[in-house]
Amino acid sequence: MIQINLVARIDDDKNIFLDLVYVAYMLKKDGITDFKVLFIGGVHKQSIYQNIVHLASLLNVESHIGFTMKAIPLAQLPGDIKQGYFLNYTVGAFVGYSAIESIDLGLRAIFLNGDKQLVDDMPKSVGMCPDLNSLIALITALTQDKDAIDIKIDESNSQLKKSYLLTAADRSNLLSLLLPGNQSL
Amino acid sequence: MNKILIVSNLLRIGGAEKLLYEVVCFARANNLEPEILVLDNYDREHYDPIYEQMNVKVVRTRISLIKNLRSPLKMLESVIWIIKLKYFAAKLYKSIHVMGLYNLDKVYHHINHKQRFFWNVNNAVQFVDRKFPYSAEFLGDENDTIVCINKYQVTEMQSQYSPELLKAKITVFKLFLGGHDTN
Repeated sequence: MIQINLVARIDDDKNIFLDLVYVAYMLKKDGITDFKVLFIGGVHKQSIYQNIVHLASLLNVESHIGFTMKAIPLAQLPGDIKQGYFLNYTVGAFVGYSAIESIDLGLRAIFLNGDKQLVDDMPKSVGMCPDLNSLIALITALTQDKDAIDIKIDESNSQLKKSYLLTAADRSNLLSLLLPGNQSL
Repeated sequence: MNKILIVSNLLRIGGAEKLLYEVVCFARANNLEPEILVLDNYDREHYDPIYEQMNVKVVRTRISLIKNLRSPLKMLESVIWIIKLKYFAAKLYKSIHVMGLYNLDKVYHHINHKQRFFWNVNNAVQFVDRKFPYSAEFLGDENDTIVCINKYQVTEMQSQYSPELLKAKITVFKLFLGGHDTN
């Protein structure tokens, strides 16, 4: 079973949920049924939630879609969910905090670019999907050769995490924002 | 002790809230005293117990529409903060950071300080027609600094707001982990 987890509150500032219903539909259409998509987050906008459920029902993939219905800190997620792939939307090469937190907790992160204008900006590494077709291809590949791909994803995750650590120059820059004109303490 | 003030509207689980947390940790590790002002939200949220444990002061109040407050104590606290931000902010804080440009409409005209930093935590693609919903009047003071968390935001802001409108300085600072580390 390939489980894709999306950590995001269901709200109208996040226009991403239907993408994954579409992915589920395309996978099923290609004969792949050993997968599940789990939305991890509170329902802040009921109408968005209903649209997801409705589309999943129309496309006959509701058995592949699940909801936690509430926000759960990553560290407190049940073990079976932690074994899944944590899908994170990016803006081109920009990766937000939920991905970094999941990698920091030893979870496996994969990425989908959410900005069509930045498809070419996406890093060319395993687990980095410039568009929905790439994500469908990745999940399909995972159903066939999970262990080998996992190793590559883990390497890529590890590199990404390192890039979020502060260098000496970063520290100096941040300090200059917090304490302008008076950096030496 | 050098104090800084960080203004937000939420301390729940979320990216902007995580950034705020890392900034707080970094400030503490560098002998600064961060205070957090949460506006228009009196809930107890995910980071409240964490900041309590860290002994970081969190104040929840509002500084606009205070006449709608029913509790005299809450109203008094609001009045104190309005006065504090307007007349004493420069004396009390080395810098003031507003987390999320979406909070500017609540605080922009209330904070009187020459070192104001407005952290942009969204990209244009998150909004209808790729347009930031922020009024240009909040971006027009050349003493202010907009802190972007990725390079795309800079291009997005500069393409939406003309140089005549966007006078605040723009800088980029990456999301980071390990703010509490001292080296």
